Amino acid sequence: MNEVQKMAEKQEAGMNTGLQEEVHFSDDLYREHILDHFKNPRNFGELANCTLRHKEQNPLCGDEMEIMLKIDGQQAQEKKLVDIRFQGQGCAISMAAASLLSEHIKGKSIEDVKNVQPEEMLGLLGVQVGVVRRKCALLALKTVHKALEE
Amino acid sequence: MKFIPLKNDGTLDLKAAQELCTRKTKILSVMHVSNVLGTINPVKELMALAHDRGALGIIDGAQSVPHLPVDVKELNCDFLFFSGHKLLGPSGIGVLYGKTKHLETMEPFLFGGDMIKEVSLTGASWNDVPWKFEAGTPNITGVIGLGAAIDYLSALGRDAVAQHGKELVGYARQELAKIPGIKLYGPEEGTAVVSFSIKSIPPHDVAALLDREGLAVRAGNHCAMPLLSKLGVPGTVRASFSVYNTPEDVDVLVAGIKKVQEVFRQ
Repeated sequence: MNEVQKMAEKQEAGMNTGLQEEVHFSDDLYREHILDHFKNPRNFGELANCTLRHKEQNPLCGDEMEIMLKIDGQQAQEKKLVDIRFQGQGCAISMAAASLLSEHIKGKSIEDVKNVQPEEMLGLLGVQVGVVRRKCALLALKTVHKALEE
Repeated sequence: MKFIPLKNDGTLDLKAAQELCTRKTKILSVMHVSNVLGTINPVKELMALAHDRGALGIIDGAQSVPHLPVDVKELNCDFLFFSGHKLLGPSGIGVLYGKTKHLETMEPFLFGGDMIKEVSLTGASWNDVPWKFEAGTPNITGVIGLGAAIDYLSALGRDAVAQHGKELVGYARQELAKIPGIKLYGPEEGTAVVSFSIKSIPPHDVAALLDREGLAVRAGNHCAMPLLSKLGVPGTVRASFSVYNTPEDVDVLVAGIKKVQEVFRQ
């Protein structure tokens, strides 16, 4: 069901049952595409022959994120991210963020990957992320950047 | 340092404790009520075990003092502590009880007003217990707030408070167990908290969605990573109950969890 259909249905429900209290989640954070990326994560799993591998944790949540990168190119300017995989466990937001980020940066130059800003990552999620969940949303990006620092 | 292992139902393995606590043991420290599972540990027996081995017995009462009648003389503990913020009181204050004979032999850990008897240029003598440990300007508002909270709970009746908590946790466990895909942790006979997880939905997402329904629960490791590792789960969701909660709150929680499951079923 798309957003327009949802709104239409909501309006209809409001008209038909004017007195009934409207019960629904303001579930923007859990929009379809985020749940889709959580349930069917892209680029998930082990990457054999990876160039770099890095693991980060979010001890408060218990989130764990391991990123594997395959990089091609000799000169610094030519270096390119040719493949990426991630694995770990965590909340829907951190897992969906990793999935979205992996699609976004695969094929990009390493310079471009290094320049991905937190706001860009939040833009990929496309939802308002509060202060509390920001660290979940940014865990994958942090892991990728730490991997490249090494 | 040695740890008393847990049995599968979340209770302490007392047989193992008998062997682990030896003549060489200096301190046996135990939490009265688990902040994750709600287990009520047999602290009186454990204090007796400690004393039998010549060790000191210390109780973490942070979860028990707010929810159960606690009598330090009856438990015969050497020390017991609890915190104001779990007792309807202010944060930043707590209580450390110790037997006078221990406190008298201990050196002060803070220096300042009220903790000295006499001071000269070359020496000082300490005040009596408890002032010896109450250096400087005290947390006055905290003390008054905590006192009011304790008076309030005492007026409700410690037994009535304990009964209320037991009934709520019992009802919550009964109703939550009916939800498909839910797993409950801890023993049936617990108090204050119920820990659970929902199949295929990470605990932090359950908490975030319940929050939007006006339900405040805690998710994650609950500052008890070794326990969560033992349970083999990356965190749980924990509902905590207090005197102001009612069975209707449990019903709202159950309805909220069903909504969380709907969101994730999309």
